[in-house]
Amino acid sequence: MALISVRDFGFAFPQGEPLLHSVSCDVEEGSFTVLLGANGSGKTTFLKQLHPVLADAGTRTGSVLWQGKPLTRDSSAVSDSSTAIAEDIGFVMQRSESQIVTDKVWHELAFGLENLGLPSSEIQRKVAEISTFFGIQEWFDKDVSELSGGQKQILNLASSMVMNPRLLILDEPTAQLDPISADSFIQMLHRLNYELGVTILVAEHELQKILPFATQLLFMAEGHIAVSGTPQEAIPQIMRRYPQYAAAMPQAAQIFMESRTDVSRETSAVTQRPIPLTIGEGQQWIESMLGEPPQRTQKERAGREPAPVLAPTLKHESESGPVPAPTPELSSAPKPASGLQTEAEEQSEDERVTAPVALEARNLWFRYGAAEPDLLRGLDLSVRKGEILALVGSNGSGKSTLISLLSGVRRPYRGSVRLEGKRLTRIPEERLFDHYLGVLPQDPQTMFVKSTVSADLASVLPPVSLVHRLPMVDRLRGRGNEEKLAEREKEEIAQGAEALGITEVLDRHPFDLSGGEQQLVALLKVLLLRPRILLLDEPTKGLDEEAKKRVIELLQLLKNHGVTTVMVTHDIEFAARAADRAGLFFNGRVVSVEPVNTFFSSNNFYTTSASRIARDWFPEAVTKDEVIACLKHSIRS
Amino acid sequence: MVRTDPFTQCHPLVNFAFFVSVLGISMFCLHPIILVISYLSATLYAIALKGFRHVLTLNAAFILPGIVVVALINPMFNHNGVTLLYTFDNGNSLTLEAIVYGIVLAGTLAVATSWFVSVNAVLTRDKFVYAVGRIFPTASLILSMSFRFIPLFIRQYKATAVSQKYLGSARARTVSTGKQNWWSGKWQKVRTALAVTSALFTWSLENAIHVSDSMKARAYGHRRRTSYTPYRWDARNVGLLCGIVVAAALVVVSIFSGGLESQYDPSIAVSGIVEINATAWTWIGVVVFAVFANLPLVLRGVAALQWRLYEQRALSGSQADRRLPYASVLQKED
Repeated sequence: MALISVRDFGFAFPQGEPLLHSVSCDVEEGSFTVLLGANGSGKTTFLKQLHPVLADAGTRTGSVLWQGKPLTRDSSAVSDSSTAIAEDIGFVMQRSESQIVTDKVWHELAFGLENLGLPSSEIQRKVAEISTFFGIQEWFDKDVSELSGGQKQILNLASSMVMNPRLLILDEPTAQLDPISADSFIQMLHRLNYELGVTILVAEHELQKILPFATQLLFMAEGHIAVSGTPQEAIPQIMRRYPQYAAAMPQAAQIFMESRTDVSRETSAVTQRPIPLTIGEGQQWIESMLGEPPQRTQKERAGREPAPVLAPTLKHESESGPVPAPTPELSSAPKPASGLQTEAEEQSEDERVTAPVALEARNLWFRYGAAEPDLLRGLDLSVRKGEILALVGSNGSGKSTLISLLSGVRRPYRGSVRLEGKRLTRIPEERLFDHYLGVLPQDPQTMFVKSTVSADLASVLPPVSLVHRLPMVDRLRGRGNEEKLAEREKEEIAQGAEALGITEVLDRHPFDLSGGEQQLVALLKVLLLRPRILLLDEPTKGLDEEAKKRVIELLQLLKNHGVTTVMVTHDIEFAARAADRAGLFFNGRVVSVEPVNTFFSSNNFYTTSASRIARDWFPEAVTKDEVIACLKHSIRS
Repeated sequence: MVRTDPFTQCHPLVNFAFFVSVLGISMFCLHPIILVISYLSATLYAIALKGFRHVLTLNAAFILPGIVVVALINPMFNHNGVTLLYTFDNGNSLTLEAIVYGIVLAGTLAVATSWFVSVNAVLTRDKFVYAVGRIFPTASLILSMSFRFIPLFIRQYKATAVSQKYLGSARARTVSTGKQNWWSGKWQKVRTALAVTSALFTWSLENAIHVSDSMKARAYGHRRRTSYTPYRWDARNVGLLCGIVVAAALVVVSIFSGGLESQYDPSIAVSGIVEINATAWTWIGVVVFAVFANLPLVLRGVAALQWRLYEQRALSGSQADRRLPYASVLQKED
């Protein structure tokens, strides 16, 4: 019998459209189920409905069975049965910060057990056991405010697990984590499932890492479970039926599916292979088509030089150059990548070198206190106008600190930052953030001050001045001015919202949005300031693939209007697709700033999965599209 | 240093009992000898916990100026006392008693400040939460949650203020001129502050919802809660607590029996020093208090001694243990 079985389930908030309809799925005992779906597809609402105490109030139809017994919503948990079920289900949410109840790690671990009314001796044993399993001993006595984001989420997991639930539901638990913390979190889930047999139901965007452990994949679209099955079965189905979500699939699977149409003509045997999901499977598949990689024998050369036969495609067609109108049409998409390296590409390369320097940091030194270690140690950075630079690096390396220094919120104790040749300290603050420097901070929630998204966005547009709001001035100057402005505001917001795909959320409260949606709204808010230089701190946190694509298109468009972008990010795939140049942030400096393709192809560890799959054959291809283009090219020739 | 302090490792109740009685005795018995002993013990223990430099800085920057100010101010406003030293033009008098009393008051201030260095180091926040929880069980969870929320709130406040700065002064610019005038700048500052406040308010509510979900998901409110503490209540703690109670009781008895009498108004009378002769109780009170106030340091000394003995024994023991425990059994079988 399935642990949870959902039949024809539907849900609507009071006075709301049905959000979920005819949802049917089973979660078997001991399975590792991954729930996939776009931002705002109702995943969170669905997962909460499976928990008797957390379920939102609203109209429920159909049935949810917990081991054959109906599971009903009971927010106060008065009945014994729902109490028992609630204790059997652990729930971990997306925001690691706001789930923590108490101030000490040990107290947080004991919290659930205290609620169960266990005696101290028993709590002590269970807390000890769980800390050992999760490796928490080193920070057991610490304050929770001293923990890193990854540690906080592990703590949330541990303090759910200490109650020994049979089912663990997790709602995008790694969306706010850096890749290394996310990795160790997923490893921990795997251990719980594999070693302890805990049933796991987890909603995720990032499939690449979690997929090898998944036994079942549920795909949610348009308010119901559209595809379910083992990853091997489900992934080709999802990619065929919902091509817009294909980008969320593992890179190996995407490369396989997208190049298969060409390949099948050549070798029909290839198509009968099961779909490759991991990097290793992807490599095997390419090897089955192209044979032994040419570089394997001469590996020393493989690093920097391009493959002799297959020149990789590079994505930046030359379409830059100053565009006079300051109003970019946000909805138009840039040209897709195509073709091999051309003269145009070389030209744009030249342009980049000759363009004036937009942002420059010289020999920056910074630390938070006299006794603290230096976070930046003689950092140099120079970004030309119209360039997109991505800085990657591990957590706590000072990337966000760099953003605060580049934006003048903090000052280096040695060295200087220059914007277009001018010292940052000489630019008055009211000029600095006025059509000049746009900054997207790490936490989008800190950007919101109004109660609807559209009002919040409008708050940054040039306002109707106080004088204009007086009725008598209106009469003197003639009415209409205000309306015209309001009209313009609305139009601008609508355009931006459409480009980022957040039109539906404009009337909602910014705090009610999912993490990804908040991120997009915050980005739009910054863009409405029409900055010439854009600093982005983790722009892709919580974004699904579709949203990432839109952000990339938008950044390319801004670039064509001469906007300079510097972003710090953990998201290597995003950096490879969006940026012109990339650098590694390490030990307080930016090392090896190079064009993205050179950068990622010469990195062995810090590189994209597409590059890991195909680097032996196409050393300079770092994004999925480039690998596909190279594959098609080499199969045709 | 603090990590291996045996008094810090004691049960919070022992810590509480000690600090409450030492501070209480020093504050209510204004006997100069007691004050001096108390100050010296507090300073020594603070040095042991925090280092010489920290205590020196505190004394130079805070305690010494405090003493001077209090000692000077008291005679300016307090004109009681029988020993007239000088009469001011406005008829007010400067008396010896007022000056002495000012110095004594300044002394109590120095004593309290010095003890609070150790109180801060020893009574960590979770010990405090525990002690409150012993008295009001529900309060301990609320306190713990507040201690969680306050740093989070401060961080969010700082981040929001920075973000709003990033969003800049677009609001302050007027459409007609494109320039900024002084008033619109001020107005803008007020608006931003209001916006940040209201955003933080919303954020707090939002955070509270998440926290309550997280609590509900972990069975909060289903049953009667218990309260887990990582502190152990063992024989050593019982002994220490008894010692503290007995010592404090002896000193209190000494105070009430007049052994530690001190009077500064209208005339000065301090047992053992001025006017009043020392009794047996005076000596008992002073000696007991001197030992009692140095309890943490005594514990440190004992622990150091014990460790040295332990090491010696372990060293000699390892020689003896060369013979395997079952060696004798094997011999018998032969």
